[in-house]
Amino acid sequence: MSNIRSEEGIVVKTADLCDEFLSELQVCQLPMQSYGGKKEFSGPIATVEVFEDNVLVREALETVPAGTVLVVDGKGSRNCALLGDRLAQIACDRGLAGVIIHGCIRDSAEIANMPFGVMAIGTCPVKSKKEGKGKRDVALEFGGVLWEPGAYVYADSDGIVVAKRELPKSD
Amino acid sequence: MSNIRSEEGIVVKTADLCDEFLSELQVCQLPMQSYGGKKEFSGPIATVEVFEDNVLVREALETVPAGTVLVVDGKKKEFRQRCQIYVARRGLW
Repeated sequence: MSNIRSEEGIVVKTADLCDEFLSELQVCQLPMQSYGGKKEFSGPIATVEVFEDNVLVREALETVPAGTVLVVDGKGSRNCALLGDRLAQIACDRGLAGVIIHGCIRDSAEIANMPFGVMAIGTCPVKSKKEGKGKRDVALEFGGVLWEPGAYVYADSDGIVVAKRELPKSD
Repeated sequence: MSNIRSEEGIVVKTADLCDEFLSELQVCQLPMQSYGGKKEFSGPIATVEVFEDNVLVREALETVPAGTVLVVDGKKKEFRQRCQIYVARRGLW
């Protein structure tokens, strides 16, 4: 197992996790792009379910603990962006590990310079609605994965995997 | 509105245009990749419609004014339809 040593300590590779713990992993089957300045990230999951409305995304980014990965099910809409540079900056300043969006982002040029993880299905320059509809802290289902709050997600350039527990880091 | 100042002057961000002028914009819904060395560009459009033949693309590139953005429809849809007709004719479904 060849872990990468970074400034933050040992980065666990998804490929190595799959070799060692496949039976307890779910592997995301949705093709996603990495837009953040950090390509490898992991952490406990918090969830938001919305449709073309990012009020609850902002609320979650402002309240979930540092180190969390916020997973947003935007139902795959490409009509607008659920995360832009302002929300991303909040997430970054609060020390979130990353954001995974089943939907689009915008301000991708700025987000590329922010030191945290951002994965999404694409970009769209249009902003979202601000009505506040949706749900927080519910189990989500997309990409063949059941994303439950409190589960652990690991993401890197090879993919995204989810485990029910924090997996041991070995080197 | 936070425009980016580059060597060529002010770059207008699509996100800022959508915030300010959405009612007069059409937004392309086809996911596209950027391959050029310049990620932001804009200009008046010139068009070409072709199918697997770039003679008219070359002709346009050689004649449209400087500053133009050449938009080429290469008809992926038509290609798909042709494939389907071909497959159907050969009874390969």
